[in-house]
Amino acid sequence: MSAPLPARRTLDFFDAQSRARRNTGLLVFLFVFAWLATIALADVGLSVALSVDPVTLLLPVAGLVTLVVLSGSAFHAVRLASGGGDAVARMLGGRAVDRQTTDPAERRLVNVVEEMAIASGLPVPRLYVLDAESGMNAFAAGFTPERSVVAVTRGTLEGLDRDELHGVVAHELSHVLNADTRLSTRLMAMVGGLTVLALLGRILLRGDGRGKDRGVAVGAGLALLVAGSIGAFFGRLIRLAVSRQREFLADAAAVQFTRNPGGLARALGKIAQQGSRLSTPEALEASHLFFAEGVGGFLSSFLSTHPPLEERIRRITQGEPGTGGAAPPPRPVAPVGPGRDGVVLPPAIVAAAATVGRPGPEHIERAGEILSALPAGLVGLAREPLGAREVACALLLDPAPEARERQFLALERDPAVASGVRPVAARIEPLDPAARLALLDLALPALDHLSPAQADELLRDLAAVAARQARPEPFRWAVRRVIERRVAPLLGGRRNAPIRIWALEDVQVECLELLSALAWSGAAGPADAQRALEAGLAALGVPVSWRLLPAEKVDPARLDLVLAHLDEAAPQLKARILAACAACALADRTVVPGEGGIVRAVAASLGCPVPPLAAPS
Amino acid sequence: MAFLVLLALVAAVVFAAISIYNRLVTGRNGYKNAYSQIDVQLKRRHDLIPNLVETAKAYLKHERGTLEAVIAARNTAVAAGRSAAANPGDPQAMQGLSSAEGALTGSLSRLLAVAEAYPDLKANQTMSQLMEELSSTENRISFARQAYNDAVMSYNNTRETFPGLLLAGGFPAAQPFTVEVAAEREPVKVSF
Repeated sequence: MSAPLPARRTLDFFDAQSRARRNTGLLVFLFVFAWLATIALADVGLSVALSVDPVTLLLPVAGLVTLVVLSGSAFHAVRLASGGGDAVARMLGGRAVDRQTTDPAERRLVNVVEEMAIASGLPVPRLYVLDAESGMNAFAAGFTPERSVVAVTRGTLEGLDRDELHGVVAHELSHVLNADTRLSTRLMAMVGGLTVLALLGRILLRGDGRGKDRGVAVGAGLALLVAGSIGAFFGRLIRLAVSRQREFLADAAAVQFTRNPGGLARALGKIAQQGSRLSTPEALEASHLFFAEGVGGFLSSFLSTHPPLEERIRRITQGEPGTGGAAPPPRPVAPVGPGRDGVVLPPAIVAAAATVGRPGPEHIERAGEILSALPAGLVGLAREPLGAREVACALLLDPAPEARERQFLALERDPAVASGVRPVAARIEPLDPAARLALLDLALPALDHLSPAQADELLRDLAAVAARQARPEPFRWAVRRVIERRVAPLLGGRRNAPIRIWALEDVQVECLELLSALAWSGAAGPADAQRALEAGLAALGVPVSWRLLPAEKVDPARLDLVLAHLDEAAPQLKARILAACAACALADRTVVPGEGGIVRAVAASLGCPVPPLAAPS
Repeated sequence: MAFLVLLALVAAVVFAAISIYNRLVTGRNGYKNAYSQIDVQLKRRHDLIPNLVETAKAYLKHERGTLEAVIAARNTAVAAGRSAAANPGDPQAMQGLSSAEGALTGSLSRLLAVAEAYPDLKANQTMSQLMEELSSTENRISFARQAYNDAVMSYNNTRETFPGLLLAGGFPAAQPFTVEVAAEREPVKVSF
């Protein structure tokens, strides 16, 4: 079995943007082609009607068509552009929002718009609220960044939280930044010009001449009508395809501005549930401007201005389109179906194990739930370096009172630390282990900002606390391991060990020890543990002939050595080991915190990110 | 004919050179402007803090240490901001500014953690408005940093990739903004 290393796709949104730009370029080229084809069609039609050689007629026809299309375009452009963004917003029933408003919801919106203007480097657009609309939608309009407006419906204003609002507003500002309104209006005007050609044909058809002139007029009219209609039809299809590409572009740019794909994805999810339709009849004319499909019941994929919401969510959260030539990203896959001696892995477990290194929307949602359950004060503390240090110490404290007093005594080396840890410990006490793990995750990035001296002190504090615990326990061992591994680079340690191990055969003993520890930590009895081990081994891709190590042989101190050894494995091997750990932890369909902690510790030790394991429901 | 082709080639090269040069200048001005945006937001934060502390003072009579630490950190940050604004891009001044701002963030988050325990304070309308403004300002600062770093990245990309490389002689590399807490900086002591 070969499992590719889970790739890190950190700057995906830049790729997605250039891809959307390339696709737009291609479509605009197609548009020009459609226009040339219209000329050719009109030329052939007219030459038949007038019985003249098509080549001699080509130049006059090209001139005529161009003239008609351009003047038609100019007419449409003036009609579409008159009044700018404000006119559009007012036409749709918008009310301008004062930048100094004191209404809490509007205040938040103003702040969010100003924040996103900073993130995108644009001037702050004027802001409108569509009070009469309860659907969730938003739009940007205006030809230049200075004159653009952003409007949201009342449903958006009231139904979305701050992160989601960030995503929606960032998406709209991307339309402003990329001049999508202008592009879209230009294409619309061109299509309008082609329809004028068809209109001219219809006028010629209706004319009342007689004899030969009449025949020529009918022939010419028919040629113009057919060419104009076909041209306008394809032009419209291409315009809509361009519009859909620009939506993908705006989504990718919104992720760049917010660096928070979850917020935008959740906003799109809410819109999918609650609907984005607008009630005002004028919405049709501005349908290309909206955040999500604003009109119409026909969601045929060729005739909508926006891509389907599911597709947008998928691209945002995975960063890779399934269509358009590129294959979906390879995922590390554990063997499905009967293992070599008949152990069958349920597909859900395989899927969960495959998410190692690749968080999906369900993880983001789960993380959001855990995060919102944490006390706000504690969250704030965990996000700044010195507070994170206190949180780290507090997470390692033994629940037994006398051991805990010994630990505090050891921390008294620096009275400031001890007095800082005490209140934090009291607040962490009631938290369940899943919340503690979340708190650890919050604290880790802040720990990166410790100075080397502070990091060194932290490690010594942790060692002192760990040495005085009543009895070793997997969860606390894992916490310490994760923290140590995280701050190691600050002290001049290496982020990645040199690769010395290429074959699974060289680390069989280590894998067995690791998986045994995991199996025991989540199991009720030996039979359970053996089953968990077998699930892990199947994911690892070895014949299930290994026996579970007895519980007393599993020792956290040994695990440190094991992980140090495994760190020298090649990336492909690490991915397999991690997948095996995840499969082992999920074998009984529940993830106890001890297990989750060990998987995190293993992942951190091996330098691979792993999302919180969500047990399959 | 050959002469015309040559002329066209030269014109194309000159045109390309001009457009690359212009892109470099645009990029440089872009990241400088993005830097000044960070500055603007830091000022906004500094202006908000005295109001916040003034409002909180009435409720947090027993937390004088925390409040004073916030004010002290704010004043340090204002001074550091002035010296960084005087010479933008200077690594030393940037370092000082980021550590002063880091200390301010620390003392502010402590204040907010303490404020959690005072329901009266949380219910105060002025306070909740100030909190909204403060959290928005914190977002603005990080978005401004992010925009600055993105601008630096795209400028450096233009500078270091092929055609731009040839003309980048007069354009120094730009430094992205990194957040660090210097070891020497006295951490804000606080009593809960």
